[in-house]
Amino acid sequence: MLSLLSCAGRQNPRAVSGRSLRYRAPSIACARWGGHRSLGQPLTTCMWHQNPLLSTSISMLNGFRLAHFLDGNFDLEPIEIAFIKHEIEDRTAAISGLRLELQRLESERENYSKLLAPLRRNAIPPELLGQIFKFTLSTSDTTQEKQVNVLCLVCRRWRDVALATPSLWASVDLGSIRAPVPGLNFERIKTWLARSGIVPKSLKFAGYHDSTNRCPIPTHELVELLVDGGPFGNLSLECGDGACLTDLFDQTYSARTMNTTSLSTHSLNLVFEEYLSQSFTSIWTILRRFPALRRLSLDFPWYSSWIIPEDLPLANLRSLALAVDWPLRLLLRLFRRSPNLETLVIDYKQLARDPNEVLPTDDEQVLLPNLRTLELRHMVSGSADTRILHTLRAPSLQSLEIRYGPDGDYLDEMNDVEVSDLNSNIISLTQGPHRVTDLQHLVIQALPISSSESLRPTLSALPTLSHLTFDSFEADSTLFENADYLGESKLMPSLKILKILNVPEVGEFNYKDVLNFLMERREAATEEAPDSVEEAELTIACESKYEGMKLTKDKHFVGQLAKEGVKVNITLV
Amino acid sequence: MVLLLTSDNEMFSVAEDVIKRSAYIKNMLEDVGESDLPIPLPNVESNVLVKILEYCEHYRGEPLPASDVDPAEIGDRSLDIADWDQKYMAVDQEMLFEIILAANYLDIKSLLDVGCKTVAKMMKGKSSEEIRTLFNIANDFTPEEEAQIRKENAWAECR
Repeated sequence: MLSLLSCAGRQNPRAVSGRSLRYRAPSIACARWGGHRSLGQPLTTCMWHQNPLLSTSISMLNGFRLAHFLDGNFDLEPIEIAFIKHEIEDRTAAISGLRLELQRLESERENYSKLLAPLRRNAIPPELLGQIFKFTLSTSDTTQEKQVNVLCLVCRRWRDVALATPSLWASVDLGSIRAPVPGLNFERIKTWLARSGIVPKSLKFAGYHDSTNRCPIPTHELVELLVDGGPFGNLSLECGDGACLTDLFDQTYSARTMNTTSLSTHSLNLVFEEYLSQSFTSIWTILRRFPALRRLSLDFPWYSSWIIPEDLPLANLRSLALAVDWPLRLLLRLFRRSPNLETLVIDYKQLARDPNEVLPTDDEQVLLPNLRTLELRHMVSGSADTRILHTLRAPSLQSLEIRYGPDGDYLDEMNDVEVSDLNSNIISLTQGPHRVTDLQHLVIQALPISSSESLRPTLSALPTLSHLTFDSFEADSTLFENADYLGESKLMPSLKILKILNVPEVGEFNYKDVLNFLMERREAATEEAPDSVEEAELTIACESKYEGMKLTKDKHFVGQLAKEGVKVNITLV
Repeated sequence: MVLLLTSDNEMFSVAEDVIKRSAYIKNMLEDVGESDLPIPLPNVESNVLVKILEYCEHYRGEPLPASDVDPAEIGDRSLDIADWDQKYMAVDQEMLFEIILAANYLDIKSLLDVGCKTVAKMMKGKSSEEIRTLFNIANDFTPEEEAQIRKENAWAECR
């Protein structure tokens, strides 16, 4: 059976080994061929292929003999092992070559595909691309200007489209100005703003006085910018001293009077540092410069006078946001100057009220006939902050937000009298002449009470309520546990959306009471008196898996409500 | 029912109240009145129209958006995309831009906004280079041009 292939001109040195320990396969290798193989050169080239006859013989035999080898187990001679190793290398090299070819083809295919990419082949018309660009300004985590820079540096076409989209260039935020200001090239800023054409522009900066109380605001350059770079629809300015901004606007006003009579700004945000009480009078001086003002935001807790001038041009004001610690009676004076307010936000900044403050009486009530949204923020627990509700007549009010304290801070729990005052103040909105008749949205945040039941008087007085949100709600759930869901005493008969957010893990609140409340309402509904609830959202702080397991068990309950048409979303955070 | 003929010659029969979300079709129906003839849509392929109709069907019966609002003038909330819309827009880039083009052609403002917002969100937090990679765009600036643009707008980067 031993069949050795003899190489032409050579004897196989291992013709008969004498050994017959195992069955040997027919050898496919010849003896060492004389040629030398260079490194990396295929063996077939250097050895086998140098002899055409041998090469042919081997290639004829290879298939047959290899198949023979593959069918059994054989001892192999070193030369055979070398040959097989060579063949493996040969195939490996071939596979590598094919892989490279595959990679090349895939790369070519990818490159061709890239040519078809919609934004590469300009399939999107410039006006749509410009629209997308405008949206990127709102999504961006960075300033609008930086985002515009990013867009402009993508490619020539994007830059051209950006330059042809005026609103992209209408906003300049100079950030925090601390003298000296490196890199603030006002000529370039003017060029930037000029690209926005006639679109109303927005300018924002915050100047911080240094230790010598020197103002860093480059007034001369800013005056030029305000005069030549406008019109500015929106100004947001912060400075250590109101007098600096008064000076800025005085100069701007003087320069502008040559062409126009006033600044056309419709939205103004002024922030002054707290300790400079003279800034209080600056506010009114500045406001006189803006007769077209529709939105005013003012962050200046300090007050130094009870005088609010009569001639303030606030009749057009639609939105007012105040971050102040002014006496309520002073606030009312300002509101009287702004009778057309639609939105009012008062941020009390968690500042304690003067214990000697004389609270306004019902005789001092102010009518705001168009007020639709009222928000009280950062109130002090148990303070008279909500007393303002008692003195506002807002017959069009639709949304009321009552927010206590800074988020996450501990607040003193309100006692029964304080809770009663809160209820009374809210309910007063619904009583007497010009009372609220269509309040739909109520948000109560971080209210420091222990029993939700104590809010029943307020909620019973608001039958039109369709959206109720309790945020950071630390009270128990008895309000829902004991709620009436039948007849005229039904709690919140118009309720559509209920949100109870950020309920702490440790507490008396049981979300099951809410689920029961929703289910009982739904079960008690009739054709004549259908249940209006559409959606409920609960987020509960939960660190333990135990709570999560309990929740899983209640999933069927949630599913049942879903079948009844109430979408319930419970989230553990 | 309204007949629509796509660019690849497929005919669609669509309920009038569904397709009236398209201001283009709505105006055409009001101008031309009832007709058995299909409305040709030479800029919309059938696979894209299927997707557009899915959107119109989902919002069937809901009030049409009131008016055009410049996204530059509305706040961050303008970028909110409803859950359903997000799932609807989870398509490849080719289809996403086809939807935007079709929404623009058919004048479906709400869909156009959702499409543009989706693309804008894809760009969120990305550098110019990353945006090029995302959308397969070649950088065709010369180094000098790029340097000049950076210089012009350098003040904005200092803030």
